[in-house]
Amino acid sequence: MPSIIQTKDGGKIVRTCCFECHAKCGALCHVDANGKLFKIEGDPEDPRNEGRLCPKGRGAVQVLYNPERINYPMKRVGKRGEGKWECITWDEAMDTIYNKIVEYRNEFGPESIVNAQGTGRGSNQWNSRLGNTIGINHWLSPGHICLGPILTTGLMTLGMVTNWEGADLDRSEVQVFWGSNQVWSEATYTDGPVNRGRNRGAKLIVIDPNIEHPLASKADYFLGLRPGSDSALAMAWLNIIISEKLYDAKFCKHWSTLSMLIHADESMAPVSAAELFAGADPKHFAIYDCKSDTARAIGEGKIPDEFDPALEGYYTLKTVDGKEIRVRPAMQALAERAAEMTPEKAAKICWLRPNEIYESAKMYATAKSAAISYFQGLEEHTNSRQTLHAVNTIMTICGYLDVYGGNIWPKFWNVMLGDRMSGKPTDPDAMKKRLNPYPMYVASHPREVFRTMKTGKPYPIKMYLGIAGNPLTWSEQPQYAKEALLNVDFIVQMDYFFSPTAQLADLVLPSAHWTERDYIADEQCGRWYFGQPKSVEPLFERRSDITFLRELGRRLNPEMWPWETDEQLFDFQLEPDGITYEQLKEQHIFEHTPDVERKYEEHGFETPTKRAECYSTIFFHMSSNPLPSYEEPAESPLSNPELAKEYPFVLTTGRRYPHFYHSQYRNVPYLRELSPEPRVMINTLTAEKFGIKENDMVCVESKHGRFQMKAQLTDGLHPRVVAAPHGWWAGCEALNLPDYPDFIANCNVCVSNENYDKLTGSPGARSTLCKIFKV
Amino acid sequence: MEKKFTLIIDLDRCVGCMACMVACKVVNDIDPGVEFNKVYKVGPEGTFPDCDMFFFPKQCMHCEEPLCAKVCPSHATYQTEEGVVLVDHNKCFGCSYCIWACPYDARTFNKKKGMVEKCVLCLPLVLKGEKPECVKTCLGNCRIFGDINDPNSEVSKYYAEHSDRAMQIHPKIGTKPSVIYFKPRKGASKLWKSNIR
Repeated sequence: MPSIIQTKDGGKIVRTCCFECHAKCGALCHVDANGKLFKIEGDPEDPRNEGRLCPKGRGAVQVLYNPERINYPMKRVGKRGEGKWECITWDEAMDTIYNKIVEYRNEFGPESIVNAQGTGRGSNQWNSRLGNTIGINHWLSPGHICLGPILTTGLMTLGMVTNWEGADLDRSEVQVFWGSNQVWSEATYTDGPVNRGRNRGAKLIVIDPNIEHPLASKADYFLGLRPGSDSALAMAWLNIIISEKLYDAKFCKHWSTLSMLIHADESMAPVSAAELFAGADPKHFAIYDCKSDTARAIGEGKIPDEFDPALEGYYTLKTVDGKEIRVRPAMQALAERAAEMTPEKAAKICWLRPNEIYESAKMYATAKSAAISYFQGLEEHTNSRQTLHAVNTIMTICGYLDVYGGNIWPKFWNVMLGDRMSGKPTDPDAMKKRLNPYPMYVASHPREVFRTMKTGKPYPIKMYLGIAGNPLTWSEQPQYAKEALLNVDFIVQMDYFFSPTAQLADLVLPSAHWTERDYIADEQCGRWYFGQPKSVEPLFERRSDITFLRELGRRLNPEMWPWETDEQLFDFQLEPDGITYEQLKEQHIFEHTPDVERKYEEHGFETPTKRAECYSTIFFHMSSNPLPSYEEPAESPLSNPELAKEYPFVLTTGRRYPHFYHSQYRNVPYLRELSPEPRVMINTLTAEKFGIKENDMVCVESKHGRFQMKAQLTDGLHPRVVAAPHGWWAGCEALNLPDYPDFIANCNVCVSNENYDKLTGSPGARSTLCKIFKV
Repeated sequence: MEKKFTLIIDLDRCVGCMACMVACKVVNDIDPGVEFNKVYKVGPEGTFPDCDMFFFPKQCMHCEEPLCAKVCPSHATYQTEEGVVLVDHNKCFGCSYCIWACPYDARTFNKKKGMVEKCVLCLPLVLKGEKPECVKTCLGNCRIFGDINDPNSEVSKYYAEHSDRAMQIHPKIGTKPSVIYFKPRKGASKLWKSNIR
């Protein structure tokens, strides 16, 4: 089917991909003879969503034609935040922005300009390129609460991102949803496999604090754990899998770092080949070969079949200088650490039942194939790195990594995050100047950016250039982010709507909707790229984010941005795949990576040892803790019992809707109708105790702040867990429904901006202690 | 044999995404507050974590013996040849008897227009050989639509394969609904009796 089909009545159907969220379902946009878009439906020929389309996509017509949209470039004429604007031309807007960048860069250095984005409308790599063009690429985004920890943990230990479309649910005997509700949030590639799974008898395990998860009550095992206790559960699963020898020994021996010898002492340091063998490469490591009963030096990649590496036991070896050292395979250390976490102990920590932990672990590990879909439920905690490392280790030792029905390696992420697209910083001191104390965060960290904006230290920040993104809603302690932004001299915000962040701007720019712009659907599209041609000409003065980035980049540095049109830029992106944008649009779908398992067999894993690093050589250097371990969130009833006396409930901000995308679309009538107001979920018995009835206004308060919402009583939460939705700021004029100004219903005011994961910089958005009371 | 349109709603697969509601609103250009279909959340009920919960999408059942048509004084509600129950808006004057008569609460009064509206089963699309929008868009693929009199249709095959879970809503009233529900495999045992009679 071609990408544009003319209809008999003079209209057309445009074959494209929806962009109301990351998941980019194939969509058919129906346009009438007058050029008006009147219907968007799922593309039945799309191999991922097969015609299905969620409410966001279906309702997108009301985003395109929404009367509350920003339609022209506008400059502020009143006071900041007063809402007085004057329309200007694009030329004037571009001149102003360009001149400001040059002025600030000359006077204060490129570090004084912050480029920013939100979860993204697909321009990640180009926003990053603009930052590098300006100089140091702060690239401020909510990456620390979304994708960042998953990406870096996966890439550093396994050289791959195992998740999202990587979870090969369609071919798995057991489907696990761990802190992820992808049937709503990533319906594209999740729902078909789940639907078919229901009828073919696939087993289902759901690990989530909330029984209102759409799959929880259907699951064979629902583990309704305490938010943030996931690393304890993961260690208990590892314990069961290792002690009952349910792991894939062959894979662990030959393709993982678990057969590597490490020192038996607490240092957990790897044994270098040079310690044991004269003349050996000091970068090589060692294993203990059971066949020859001796230690062997090993290089990168697969450990040869001629060896039978030990996974258990302690060994005493002689070093080249004659000393005796005590060593053990890394698996032995992992087994010992996991053994401490019995199902009974984990049950106490996680508020679960031991038999369910035991049985679910066995169901997962004994299957022919099993895939784990995990997402933000594991990320937004101060212990996210440990949890992610532990869960990755579970799938690795069971031999489910990069195999059909397990967690496949989608190669796209390795490409997108490379320098080719985002370029390199033009400032030689960029890495030093970046505001990022976290070794596993890849940009300036939001907390540090806002602190720097506010204090002017270590340097002043003069300009904020945001394309989508709304930190006044997503940031932990958003009041702090607001104070920080008010300290910035010049704020530019390009967006669909006047978000709280855009309201503070000095210059706003109108973003073209995805139905109004040409683009490529690439991220989270599995093995494919899709052409995403526009359905209608941009209305008013709206422009594609890409056009803006490219034209600004071109004025700043034509060498880095040699493309005169968006199409030329797309051609550059597609060049390594040997296809042009014109061809992509014509054929709509392009498979860039074949559906192949065990891709690592060819060149190894993309890690320092070229093996799957459950024992992580990188983590050893970063934190002296190379193996996964149980860690409590910074704020929990166990880690801080004193605080829990005053704030006895665990607050998770992970309550989601199938019809909103983060802080967007409360102003879309068809979607807002489905949830007219924010409601915080409280257990029925708890509510009774506090005299709270359905729809009573309640206050949720933590040590860090408070917000108000109506109560939604439910049996589906643990009595000590409170679940709040995020993203509520917008009103809806068409339905005469109110907005929520001044953070009154913003759950992030309760989240600390002092406690972060030491490596990934993730805050405890889903594990904060709180109390509740009726207002 | 005559065509008989049947809609199966497999409650085991509904994920409560409400795409059916929005698709319906957009395509039929429905006014705010009017709903041709609606997804209810039943539960969760129980003591955490031992709770039952399922989603229940509801709409016009396009009954073979529609009570709404029987009570309509202006004969605005009628059945097409294919058995689809529709409202002729040239005849409806908004008396709302049909709303009271319908045992499925499937009709809504449009205040702006002063008449009663309901699911039209996307009949113009269906007559072209397509499926209703709610069926096409369903994330859970819980809606299966087609001609039950054609043994090779998707709906007939699905019915044959899973008929052990099939049930009608309020069968004793004798309306003979052409929407057939399939019970959830799990998560509904306690709730079923108290909510759906």
